[in-house]
Amino acid sequence: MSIAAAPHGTTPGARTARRIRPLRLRLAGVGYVTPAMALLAFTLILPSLYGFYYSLHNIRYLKANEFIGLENYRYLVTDPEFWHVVIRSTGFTAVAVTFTLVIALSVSLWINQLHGPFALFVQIVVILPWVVSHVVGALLFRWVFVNDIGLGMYFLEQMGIHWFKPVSDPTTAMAVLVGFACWRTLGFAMLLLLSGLKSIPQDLYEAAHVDGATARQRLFAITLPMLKTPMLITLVILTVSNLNNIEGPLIVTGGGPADATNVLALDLYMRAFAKFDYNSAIALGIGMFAANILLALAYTRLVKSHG
Amino acid sequence: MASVAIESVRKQYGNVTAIRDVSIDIPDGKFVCLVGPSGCGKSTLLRMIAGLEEISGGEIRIGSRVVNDLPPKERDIAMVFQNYALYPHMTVAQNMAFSLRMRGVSKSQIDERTKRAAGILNLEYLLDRYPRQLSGGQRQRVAMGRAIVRSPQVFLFDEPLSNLDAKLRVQMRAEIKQLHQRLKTTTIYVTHDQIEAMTMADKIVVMRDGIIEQEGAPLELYDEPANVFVAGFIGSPAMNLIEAIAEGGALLSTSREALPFDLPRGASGKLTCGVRPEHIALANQGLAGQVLLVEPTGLDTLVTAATVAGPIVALLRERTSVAPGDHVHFRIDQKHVHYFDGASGRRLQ
Amino acid sequence: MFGLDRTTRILLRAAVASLSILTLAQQASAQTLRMWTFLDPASGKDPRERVLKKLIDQFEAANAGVKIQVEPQVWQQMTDKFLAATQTGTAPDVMWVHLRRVPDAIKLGALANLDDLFAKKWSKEEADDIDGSFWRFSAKPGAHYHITHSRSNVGQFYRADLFREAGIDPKSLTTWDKFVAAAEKLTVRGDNGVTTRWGFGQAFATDGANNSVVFSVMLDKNGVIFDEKNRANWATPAGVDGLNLQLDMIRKWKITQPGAVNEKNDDLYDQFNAGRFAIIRGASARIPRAMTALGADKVGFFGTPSFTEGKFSPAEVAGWSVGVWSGSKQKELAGKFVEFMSSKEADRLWTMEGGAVPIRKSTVKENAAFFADPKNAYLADVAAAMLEAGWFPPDGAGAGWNEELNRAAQDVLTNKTDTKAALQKAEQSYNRAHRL
Ligand SMILES: Nc1ncnc2c1ncn2[C@@H]1O[C@H](COP(=O)(O)OP(=O)(O)OP(=O)(O)O)[C@@H](O)[C@H]1O
Ligand SMILES: [Mg+2]
Repeated sequence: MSIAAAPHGTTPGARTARRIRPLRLRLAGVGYVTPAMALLAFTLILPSLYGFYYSLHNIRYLKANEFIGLENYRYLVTDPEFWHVVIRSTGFTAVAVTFTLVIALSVSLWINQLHGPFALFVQIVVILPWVVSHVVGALLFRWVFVNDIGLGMYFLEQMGIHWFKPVSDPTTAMAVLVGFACWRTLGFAMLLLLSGLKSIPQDLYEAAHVDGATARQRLFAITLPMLKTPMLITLVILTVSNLNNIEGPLIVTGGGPADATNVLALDLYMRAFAKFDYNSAIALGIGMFAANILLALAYTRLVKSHG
Repeated sequence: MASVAIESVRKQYGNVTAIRDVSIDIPDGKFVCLVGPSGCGKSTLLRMIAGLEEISGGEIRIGSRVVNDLPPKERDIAMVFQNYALYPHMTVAQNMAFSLRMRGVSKSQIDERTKRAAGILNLEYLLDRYPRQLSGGQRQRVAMGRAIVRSPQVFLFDEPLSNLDAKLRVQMRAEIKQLHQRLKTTTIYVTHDQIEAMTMADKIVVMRDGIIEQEGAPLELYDEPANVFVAGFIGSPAMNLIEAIAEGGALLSTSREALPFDLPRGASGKLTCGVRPEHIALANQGLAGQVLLVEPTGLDTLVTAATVAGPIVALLRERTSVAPGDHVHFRIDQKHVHYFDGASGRRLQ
Repeated sequence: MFGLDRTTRILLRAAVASLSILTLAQQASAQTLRMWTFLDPASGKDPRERVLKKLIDQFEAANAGVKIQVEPQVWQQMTDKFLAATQTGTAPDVMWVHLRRVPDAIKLGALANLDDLFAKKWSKEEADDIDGSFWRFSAKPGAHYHITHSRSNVGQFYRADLFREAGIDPKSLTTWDKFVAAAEKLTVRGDNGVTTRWGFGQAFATDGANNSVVFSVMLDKNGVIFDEKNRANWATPAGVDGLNLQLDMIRKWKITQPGAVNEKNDDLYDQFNAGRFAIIRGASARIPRAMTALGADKVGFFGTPSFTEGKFSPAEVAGWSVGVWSGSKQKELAGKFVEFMSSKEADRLWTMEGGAVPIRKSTVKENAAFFADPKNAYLADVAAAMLEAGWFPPDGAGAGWNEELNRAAQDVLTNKTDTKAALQKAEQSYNRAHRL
């Protein structure tokens, strides 16, 4: 991060060193990464190739039968319900990510200027949901906000509010899902942004101070631009996380009412495990996998440009 | 432009006292250097002037205004940081224009003043670059450009050259001095390099442990250091400081051997004698010694020898053929011997 | 907390399962039988797990050198995993298949014929003892493929204490009219109009859906929910009546909580235990758990009412059909163990210690005292409901009808869609998913 440091890998010395590195060393490098690559190949690459192979076949009883080309994909994209799910997922992800990012940014800006035990306390409170198992978290969330005898509902009833049943209404159910997504990912987003904030050299703020920038101007002229890459990285990670999260739609809102919270991850789950329609499930799975790959690519490019 | 007055200023970090009781008067347009060893409180004092650090006690005035409670932006100062603190996401031009933008100066004004400042510092061809695309010296210059673009009343520099190599440092030193001569802006310049201070300053303030040891014009400090600390700190190569005892009308070394120094009137007990290396010459007789080290610089030669007074460094203008191990004699210019009280370290008159 | 222990258990099992596949698969020796089930004998939390442990110990003791290796699985995915594993040759010797997937498993040739392994040696008397709708499910002449354990039936759980209090006899609630009247009586509204107890708790969430009222009504009136090509045909007068009946319980009689629109089955059990629902629709396999929570005298079970006096409506049965993998290298031994797990002695244990519905008629006959105990009366009630109105999915049926029917219910309640149109939509979605 230091502006005084030479940019990595661009000094002529570094380049020459790389060129004349002895063969033996290069082989050693291959040796170091081979176990990890082998593991990845076994757990990630082979299964996804296998999955793609499956997606080109008619699957009955989990068996790849005759080759049918892209029929499974054609079926999926011509399924009218599917596009509703895609649009809903996109909307959900966009809103959840935006909310999370804005809240995480505000909270981390706030925490960043706190000192002592209170700062630690706030951090722990925000990070807790992220540390808790997501399944447990989702159940907790459901317990507090959804269930008739839950804590939140109990307090509402105590306050005389009997008509408010968040997950029984399409709009509020979506709001609950977004709320859960924020709650679940806020701590992580905040950690990323906070570490980004901490890595902004203090003297930039002092320079800006002397240059006459107000607190607001410092935020917009220094903090936010310096936080651009961490924010983009967070954005990509949150997008991936929300796109793939199943606990929220499955446990908290169950996809309902009337499909109001039925998003891609849940749709995939339901196709596979409720309807046993593995044909369209695997096509959807491969599609989501491709989307994830694209997001991961965006992520690595961002990280590289930042480092 | 404005004068700066620092009166009985204190700085307290919890129960650490960084600045004890510092008063400095900086006339309008002067170049003042704060020097002193690491941790003596130079940066703290500078940052208090800038408004980046609260003042625990005393008063700081810029011009006629007491600035104790003013935020930095209302003090009309500019500061150059040790690490330059250039905004990495802005081009050189944007970096320089930043303070003007914050003040709502018009676009055309900004362009004009940025260009003018860039012209002064030969930065025109770098205006579209980002800080990461600059060399250390160029960054340094941009940091200065950022300071001068606004024509503030006071420039504050905190060790601006310490990240540069020796040669560039000498060059930048000259540039800063020329810049000051041209702009005549009151400047407070922190360094721990006393040569920088000697060459640049109108006035040097020597600090130690949060207090001022001595202030004055560079040559004043050089010729009449007020105490042992300043005597040892100012000047390079450093002054020879010899522990001595005045006893029975004579000056003896700590090992009770006669020293070839006149005994100042009324002196008794322990004292410290100081002689600058350039006031010691080779002679046929005088203080005897055996050469330990010979360091020719081309211009002159430093000779270090072991004597009854301890190791002595002499600066010889002429070339010499002495070599380590040789037995030599030194003549000491008695007019230029400084005497300090052994206990307080204060100068004896 | 609700369902939490279940979830942790599921996760733990998943972890154990994935480990065991890697390590234990290789260790399997000629005398080791591998078995996949959702029961974990090592955990012993569920009474059935303790029974399984006992049976394994007995079997191992009686057959020196034989080891039964249980690899506990997550029940939702266990059957599919088995079907997949039969194709890679890594399936276990003994498998517990979800009853609804038995036709699939047979069609795939994954299950061995139990007649060949042991059942054809049975005496007539012995065969009669186990015979019934479960034993005949998916059977062919000379071929039976499974013995179904952990039998369960969807029906009505009721709070016996509240029924006593209200003076209602659960056995009398065989028609919908009577049922609704009783539920209205059991519904308690406070002075401020807030309902503190609902007569009949339902749940229409699509995740983990059970048979809903409309399902039973369609079967009651039409006898089927699919046409001859196994296509859903729900937008019928029976379907419309059924869904209206189901939803009028919220809209008209206010005996079902409006939150039902997006609540899950798991929520129902919690509310039931909390006394907020007097009757809920649930799977009988959960009765022992409710009894543990509330005390045996507070929980009872009755079949689904109908439009005909004295007759239950059909409701889906469920269970775990234990069979032998057709590709097992030790089919004989595996068959021996399957037979042993269904023996008279074993059935006694499953029933009297595991709280399971008996699979042998003799178990009921020979332990009259046990079944006479009011604590265990529910077992007879479940068995009776199953016998009279247990519905088995037809051969070739797909999956997901409960989910689709619940979705129709949500659609009507949320979007005010016309009942018939909602059923049509559900029907189409179902048929489309199954390429019908
Ligand atoms: N925030 C702080 N809290 C506590 N003590 C501090 C703080 N900042 C500085 N000090 C102390 O105040 C004293 C003066 O520090 P200062 O940075 O002014 O030294 P300096 O003369 O600039 O040294 P250098 O030449 O190394 O930069 C030091 O002893 C330092 O440890
Ligand atoms: Mg400093």
